[in-house]
Amino acid sequence: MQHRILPFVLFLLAFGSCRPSPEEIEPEIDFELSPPAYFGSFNERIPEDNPITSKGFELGRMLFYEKKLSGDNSMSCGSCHEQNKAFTDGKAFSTGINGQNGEVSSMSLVNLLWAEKFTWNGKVQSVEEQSIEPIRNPIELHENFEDAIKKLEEAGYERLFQEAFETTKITEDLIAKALAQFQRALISSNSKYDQYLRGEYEPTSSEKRGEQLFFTHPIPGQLRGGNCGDCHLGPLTSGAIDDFQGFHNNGLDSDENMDEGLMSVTGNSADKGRFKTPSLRNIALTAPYMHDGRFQSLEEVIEHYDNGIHQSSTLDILIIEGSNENQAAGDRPQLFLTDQEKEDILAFLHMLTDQVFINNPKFSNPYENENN
Amino acid sequence: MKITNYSFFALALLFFACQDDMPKTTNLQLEFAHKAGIEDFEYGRMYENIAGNRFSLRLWRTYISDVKLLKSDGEIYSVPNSYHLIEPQNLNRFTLNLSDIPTGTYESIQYYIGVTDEENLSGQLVGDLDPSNNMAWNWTTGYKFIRMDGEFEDNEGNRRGVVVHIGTNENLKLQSFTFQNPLILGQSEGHILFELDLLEAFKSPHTIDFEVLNDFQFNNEADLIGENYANGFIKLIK
Repeated sequence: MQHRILPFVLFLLAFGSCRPSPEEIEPEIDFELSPPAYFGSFNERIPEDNPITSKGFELGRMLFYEKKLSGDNSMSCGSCHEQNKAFTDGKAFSTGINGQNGEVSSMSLVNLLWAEKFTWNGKVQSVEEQSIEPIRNPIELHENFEDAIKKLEEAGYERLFQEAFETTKITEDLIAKALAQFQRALISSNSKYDQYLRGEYEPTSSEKRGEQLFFTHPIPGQLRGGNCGDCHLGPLTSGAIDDFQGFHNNGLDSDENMDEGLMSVTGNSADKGRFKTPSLRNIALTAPYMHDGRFQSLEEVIEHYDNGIHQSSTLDILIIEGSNENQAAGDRPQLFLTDQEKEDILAFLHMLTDQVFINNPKFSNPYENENN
Repeated sequence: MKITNYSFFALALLFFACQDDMPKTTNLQLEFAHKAGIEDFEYGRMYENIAGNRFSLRLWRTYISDVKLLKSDGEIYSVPNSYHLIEPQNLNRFTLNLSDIPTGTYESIQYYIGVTDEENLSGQLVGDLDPSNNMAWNWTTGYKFIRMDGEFEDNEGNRRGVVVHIGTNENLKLQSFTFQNPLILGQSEGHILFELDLLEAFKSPHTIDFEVLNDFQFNNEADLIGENYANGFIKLIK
């Protein structure tokens, strides 16, 4: 009997021997992201241990707007990241539960898949990590996870964690993962500019000129340019992804008055005053501008780049080498834009506003009618 | 007895189940060493070009595309979806692993510096082409073929940029290298070493003095660098 089975088993072995071992059972990936191809590849940017699922996204959304994640149940992530302001709060410095101000302006949460370094000085390396830090931070939500988890358990969150992660045990790690899933899905790709790229919108002549100026590095006597696209890359209009390439000193201050920026992370004095180049998606909705919210309007920002640059030892070379006139070496860099050109660039920046994104019910506060 | 025979046959099958026939294809490694003259290149380190400017780089990336291997009988193997972004990663090195290369004896290799026409403006994500990788200008102008961001101190002590962003079709340059000894790809995998010499980009036929020209982006002067990198910028070592 045994002998009769043996050849059969061996045949099976022979046929099976070249197959890969069965994959580990993974949660069903039923959440579809469909960013435009011109944003670049994205699938490999989603961490393997945290794929986006519809249950995970939904839990992340609940947690994003959950005030129980703050020390006194008064604030949530959404308090400083409001959807109608493209997930910023309209303030130069955000205020935490103790009424204390932070040191930098709340950043817009958009198209985070195409970023690997987070916050203005680049100290955070993943969306998961970024999701946790403000909860614990004493000048932000100021809550410890033991208490936060207890509150979530009492509010019946265990069922949602079960659905999303197949465990009722709520942990800091899973809170971070769910929040990250929600935030990675915050993709803005329906602005007028996107409609134009898809051939669905015919821009005004000013918008068209503005787009051209935005992406053109000026060459005196040859090409007029606004020199924006050297740092705000491509249709994402955000900084370079790899390493700290997307961090630049954009001439806000002289050496003496400068904030540390990236230097506080790397310890390298060459990185002083370098800050993360943010996406300009929905930029018309995210005033005030810069890491310290010093500019109230986009007009002021354009004036800064045109004729407000401060010289320093770490000023970005792409700003030093960017003028529409032949400047003497060592002169304070200026763009020498005309009033019309400034208006055109402004028109282009307004094209980046995405009404679908800021009104998307999937991204909105699920407790809106309950406790706000 | 019968059962034993079947077992023997099955055992033999098991033995060969994971063995291919003689390999028809193999792997080929292209290794690129970034140099500045005879020195191994490093970011942030000072180098001197032939005009005597002292400069350093913070970024150096090079696109190559359409890699082809040529046999002596004229047969050509074209690597599919061949768009590769080369940069100093492992110290000054970059290793490009090509798989499924037909075995045989090859006499030369060729590729373009730059991104070939058909995909440069297509917006397709082929090979290493990716609009979010800091090499794209925008969809109407395609990719930068070579990007160098750096700085130098001029004669008056001013800090100035060295900005080399070269693209557009006229700067797509075919490079052909004939192997000193034919490259035999068979049982063993192949390995080819190239060197990219930063200083060559500013050397010949056009000697570039950063005091005069230091910004090469989409302007007429960009083509000078294009002509320079067509000429001795990449060398076949072995």
